Amino acid sequence: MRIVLTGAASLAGAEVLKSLLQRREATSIRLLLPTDEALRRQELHRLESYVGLFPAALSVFEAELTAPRFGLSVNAWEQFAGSFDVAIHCAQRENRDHDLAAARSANLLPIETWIALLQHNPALTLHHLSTAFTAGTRHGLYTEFDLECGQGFHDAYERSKYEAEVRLRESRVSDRVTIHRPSHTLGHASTGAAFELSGAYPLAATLASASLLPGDGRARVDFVPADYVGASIAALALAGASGTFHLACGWHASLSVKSAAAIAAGGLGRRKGAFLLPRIIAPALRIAGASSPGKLATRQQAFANARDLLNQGPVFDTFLADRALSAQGITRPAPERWLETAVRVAAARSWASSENPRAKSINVHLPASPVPVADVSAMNGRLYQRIGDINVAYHVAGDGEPVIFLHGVSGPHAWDGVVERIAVKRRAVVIETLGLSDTEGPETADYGPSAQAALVRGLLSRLDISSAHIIGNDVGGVIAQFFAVRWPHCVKSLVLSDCDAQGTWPPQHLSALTKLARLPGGTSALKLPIVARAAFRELAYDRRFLTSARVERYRETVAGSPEKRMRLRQFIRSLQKTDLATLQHMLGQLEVPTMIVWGADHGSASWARALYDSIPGARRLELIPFAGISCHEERPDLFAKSVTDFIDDVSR
Amino acid sequence: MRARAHSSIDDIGAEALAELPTGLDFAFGILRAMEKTLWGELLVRYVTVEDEHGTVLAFTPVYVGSNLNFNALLPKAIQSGYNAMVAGLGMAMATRVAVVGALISDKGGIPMHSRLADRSGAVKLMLEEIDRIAKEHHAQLTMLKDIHQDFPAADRAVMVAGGYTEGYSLPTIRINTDYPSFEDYLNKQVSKNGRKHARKQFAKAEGLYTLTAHDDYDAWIPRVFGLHRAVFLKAKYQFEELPPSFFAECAKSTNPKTELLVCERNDGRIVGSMLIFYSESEQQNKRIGIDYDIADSGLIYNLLNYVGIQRAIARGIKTLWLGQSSYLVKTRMGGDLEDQYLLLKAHDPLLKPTLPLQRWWMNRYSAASIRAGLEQGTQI
Repeated sequence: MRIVLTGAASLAGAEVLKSLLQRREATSIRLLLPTDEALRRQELHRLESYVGLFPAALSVFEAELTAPRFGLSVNAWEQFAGSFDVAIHCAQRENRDHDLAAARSANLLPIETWIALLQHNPALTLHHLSTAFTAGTRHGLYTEFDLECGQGFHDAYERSKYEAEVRLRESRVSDRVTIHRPSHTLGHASTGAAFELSGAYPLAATLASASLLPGDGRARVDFVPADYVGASIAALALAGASGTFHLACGWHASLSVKSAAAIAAGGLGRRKGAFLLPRIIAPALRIAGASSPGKLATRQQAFANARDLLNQGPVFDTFLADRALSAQGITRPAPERWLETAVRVAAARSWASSENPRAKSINVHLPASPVPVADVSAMNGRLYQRIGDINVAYHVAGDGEPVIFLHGVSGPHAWDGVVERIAVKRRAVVIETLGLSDTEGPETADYGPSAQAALVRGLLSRLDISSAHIIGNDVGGVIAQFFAVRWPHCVKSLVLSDCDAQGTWPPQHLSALTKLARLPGGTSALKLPIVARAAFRELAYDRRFLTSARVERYRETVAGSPEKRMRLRQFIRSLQKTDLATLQHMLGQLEVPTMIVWGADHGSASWARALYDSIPGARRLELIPFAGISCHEERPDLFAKSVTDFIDDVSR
Repeated sequence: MRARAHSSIDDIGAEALAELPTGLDFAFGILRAMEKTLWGELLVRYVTVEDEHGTVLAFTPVYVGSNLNFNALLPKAIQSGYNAMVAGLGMAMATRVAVVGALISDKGGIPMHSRLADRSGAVKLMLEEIDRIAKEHHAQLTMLKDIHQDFPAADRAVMVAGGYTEGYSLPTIRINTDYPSFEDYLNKQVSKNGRKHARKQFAKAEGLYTLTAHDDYDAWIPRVFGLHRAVFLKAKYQFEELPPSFFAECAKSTNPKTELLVCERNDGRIVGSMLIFYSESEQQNKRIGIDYDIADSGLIYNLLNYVGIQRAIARGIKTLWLGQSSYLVKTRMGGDLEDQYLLLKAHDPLLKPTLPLQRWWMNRYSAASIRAGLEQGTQI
């Protein structure tokens, strides 16, 4: 049987591929991968690391899934249509946000092409990866025979997957379409391994780490392991099964939210699971989060997802799946046996951090750092260059090709973990942002990001750097964008991270600082630890990451003296005056090789995709799981690895 | 005599129930199928009254849980408000209800042995045991479900004396099928208009739809269950939600016997289905499934019911029960409405004051009220 598989480089898709490779019935497997070469190579590399060396029966086909005919010429499309028997469509956009346009583009557009392909070749069958959460807000039984049952939807993901199923059911090829609806998918049941920490991992992370959550302890939360999902889809596809299959636990086998919280917390070495409160109290919890940070999961997206998903209304019936899979010898392991392992392995992979006391207490050993670490003690020495009336502070470490780091509210030292990895082979220059650091300037100076880009340009001239790799996070990312559009010839590559230039402006996470800056003497209130903590609480995904020492460092960096507080006020005011329309227009013409790296749990993760789509030179989009705005500080190893791979590619 | 509670129908056994007038509603196979396919927080206990030799003299199931649609007969505003409260505050706020009787019965009561002399004593013992179960499982409300008009009024009086408030439940529909042929049934049981309508339905279906009955219908379930769900999701009163595994369990039952009637269009599309339970003396057209995507959905509904009636007559079955909905259509088929009663007991002091209001609201469900409504062209 000849198989075509999309979305192989995803949590479920990789497991489907793994299962297909183990089965003889699959005589040839063709992966549809992105047309972008760098991205394709990266996905292949990751896949091969996960599933093992590819056999000769596996081939790769370049396709743009959201384009008509997958971006193929008419002849190529005709050939493609006759080159396989079964298509398994696992590619999807899983973000649980409200960006319906993006969700529809990723989850609905490919469906139209699949329908056209099935109409073109009557021998083809399609297996479509959907989700059990097409049930949306329904309360009560949701069977494999249901779709439209008067439900609403919590987010764009649920709605777009529902619409895709409706489209497939109403099409003339519906009798050749099989729907697979997994519930919350996590890693491998026995080992906890996962191709990537997408799927239900953000929910599991919230469940494991939060102390207080808006959830219904008596409701069910339905987790299934990815290897069960992958093996089921592969087996049903190869057996020619048709219909809809719920790859879920159902009521009896799934866990109550209360039990799941306790088990997940156990995976982090915590003795007690999150305390659950009714969803009606969710708004109050959010407000309370401002005064008791560290206790609440108040990350906007994580919080909203918890509110919706930990009050699960539908009960998934698994009648058809149980019948079809028991005949194949595939059984579903009970979540109480594997959930803790999944969380523990995920935590070791991405939640642990050198400053995370919890990580130490549970004795988690990080895997060997993928990037060597340099001695960057020289970083501690601050250098200055006067550019006009501004005394620009900066740090230098390492030798070689220059890499410029621009920071935001978390300050220049947030880059330390990344710099020590980059400086092994390159010259790292961290430039301190005026208004958020020791860079000195008068009250009358222009603190706006455009003017700061000019400062960067001036400093590079002084340092005899004609072109460099530019990396910017937060407001530093906005400065980097201004720099790149004005002096693209000075940019070898551009890395943008969690730089909120596409959504609310000034950025949401600066709202507390903005309010303080408006009050007379308001920035002085940052001296109070509780105020400082509230002001910086949006920076990290994991609240425990915001230790008192770290908050104090942030405070000292941006508001440690009367001069700094004056500069902070001016900086905040400049943001309010900044016009981003021109910048966004110019980004549409930026050909510089660009990578977007985003904390997957930053509430604005959908902006990463928007930025990626708007920059013609954008080559890569990386999401760092279990990280927020300061993903470079929370996960320096992953961040540095991504950046190093990208810069190496560009430099070759 | 003593009352006992059992956690599985298998603990009692089919033989112990054989002497009781369980009818189809309390038949061993149906209760077993329900027990095996319960979902959500629902649990079941079986209360028996036994003599000193262990002979079961009276018997009823008690279902306890918070996912019972106990307010389906109340005003929509109350249902919506209740659902919103549970969605906002969580399942801890859901009302836990103990429902006494078969969950999917068309006609309720308490099956009692013919030799039982002290019926009221048995009812009292049973009510005490039901109260104990309700307390043990924190039920806030106990409902004695669908007590049929044929159940002795004296026994109902014992229930009222035991603290229950009595109101009307939806009436059930009985059809006399004690005729030698379907033609006789049409001529004697059905009105002139009904007769004309029935013949028209068969004429319209001629050559277009084929109905077949299947005893061994397990393999049909994946093909027809979607139709049954469509009817459930469209229903005005959504009571118990049955999973497909319930049908699979019913397919295994021999007590009562069951069969599946399947309606197929001439292009091979399955457009209707009906689950039938039957014994030697009675039949229930239990669950119907309709393809609402076709224009003839009304015709399919009628055909399934008429063919169900044909099969009852052919088997010599004298009574057919048509359920508790679609009164207009079913009276046209010759059905008679028979009163049923719902008896409520609140254990939660907040619910107690609402019972008189519920009783007042449910007066609209008396057979007389519904008949009057049908004559005036209104349906509940």
